[in-house]
Amino acid sequence: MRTALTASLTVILMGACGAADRQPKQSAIPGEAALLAATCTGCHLSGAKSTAIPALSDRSADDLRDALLAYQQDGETVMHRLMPGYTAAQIDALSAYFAQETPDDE
Amino acid sequence: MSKVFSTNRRAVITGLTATAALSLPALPLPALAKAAPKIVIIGGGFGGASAAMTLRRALPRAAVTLIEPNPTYHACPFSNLVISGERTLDQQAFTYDGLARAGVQMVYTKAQDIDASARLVTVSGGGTIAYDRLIVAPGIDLRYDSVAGYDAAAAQIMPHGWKAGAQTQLLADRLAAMEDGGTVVMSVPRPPYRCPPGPYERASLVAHYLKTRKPKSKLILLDAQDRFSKQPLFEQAWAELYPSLIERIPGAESGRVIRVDATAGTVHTDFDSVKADLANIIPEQQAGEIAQRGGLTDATGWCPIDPVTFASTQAEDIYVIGDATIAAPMPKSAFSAHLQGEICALQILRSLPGEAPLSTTLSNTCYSYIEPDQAVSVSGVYRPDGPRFAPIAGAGGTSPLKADIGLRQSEANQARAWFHAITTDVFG
Repeated sequence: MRTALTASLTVILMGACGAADRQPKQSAIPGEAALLAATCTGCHLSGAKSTAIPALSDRSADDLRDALLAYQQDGETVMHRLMPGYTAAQIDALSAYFAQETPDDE
Repeated sequence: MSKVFSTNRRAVITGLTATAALSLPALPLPALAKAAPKIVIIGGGFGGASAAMTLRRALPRAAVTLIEPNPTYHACPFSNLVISGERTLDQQAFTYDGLARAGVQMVYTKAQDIDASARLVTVSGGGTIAYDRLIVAPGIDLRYDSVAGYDAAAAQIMPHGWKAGAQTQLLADRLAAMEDGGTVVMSVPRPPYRCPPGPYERASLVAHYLKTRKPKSKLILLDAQDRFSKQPLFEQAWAELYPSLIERIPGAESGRVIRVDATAGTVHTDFDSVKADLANIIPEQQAGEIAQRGGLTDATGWCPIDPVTFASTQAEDIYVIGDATIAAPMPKSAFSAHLQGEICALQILRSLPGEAPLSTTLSNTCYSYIEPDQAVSVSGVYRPDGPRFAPIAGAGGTSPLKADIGLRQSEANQARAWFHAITTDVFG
């Protein structure tokens, strides 16, 4: 859960009837990290068990940052083609964002 | 004010039969930030469904209405595997139950018109639905007039299979019924069209079907384009996997189909005509009809948008996402539509309390099967640059041309994981 998610918002969420299964991934006003992370969720299913595309929600920010930075080196995978398009600051923001996300139980 | 909006779901329903929605005033920004904003989405494909889920997840008090005529959605990605007999159409089918559980108000009807000044959508039967923000995600319309002799009736004989559903099954059935030794003719339209590598993935999978089931048959690809997405990878795969089975005639050699005779089974280009045992005609395309009716398209037939927010450049408080947009070099793909739905929803959430839009980086990846257990992919990374998107230099590209079968199989596994992830994310 994002630290920016305030207690008052949490109360609203918990009280909401029929709210989405997944925990909200951003504070009330989505910022840079939420916008960047939107791309990732097209492939990386929150809470995914063992698939060819791993979940991002169960790793530390340091782990994620190391992995994403490594994809900026030469390689054959999709991720090796994507990550050179991102700055170190963007990778930091993404790593922190997913490290704070509550994994799904879906 | 909050009392008015506490009844907003009922207003949606009454709006269908009466004009109660008309009495709802448009809210100024500060009031919108506090009240339940009323966001209406037209079209329940990957873009519209993604926008709806993103809004409900991030702002559970948002009143989100999704207008979609079909209670069952058939996904286009992976539908080429249905045509080649590797999957069933049922595996492409998704309901909106997951969206309804997430609190999205589903309205199963057709949006007929948009009144941007009154902020009203008119639906089949004449009812109206009011909105504070409208997201239009209508996908494509096929331009039957781009091929003389082709229309909805001819498509029952020469299926397009470019909107997943009955057309996909028809094409699969016709292929299964074709005699060995038959000629399959596929046409590829001039761009822009939905799913740039799609026709070539289809050609690959049809060729696989013919090779394994009807080896005396052949496939002729009449292509309006000269160059195409992932071309070196597809051509390498065709040479290795389907030698002499696929004959492609590019646009420069008069490959563009200009006329068909469905009854005679002939397909015509400028200088040639081909007799087809099965013809798959993919006509040219434009933004879905409601985008045209709503005044959201320009002379190209597609919708210009602000690449930061996906706001229409032609109407206030209306956004357009997915295949209907002018977003090149972002392709018209399910991945792009899903992402654009998310970004558009997040930018709307920023706008409600008056926050400025925030430009971001967007990516796309499209997998294509070259045979049922091998795939190749293309990726791109983009950022808004003035009125359009620009690719980020040094990023993106395709699977390597020189690769062992393991990499192709690994990308086929990733393609399956992607399909599971994206459909689970939006349909639950």
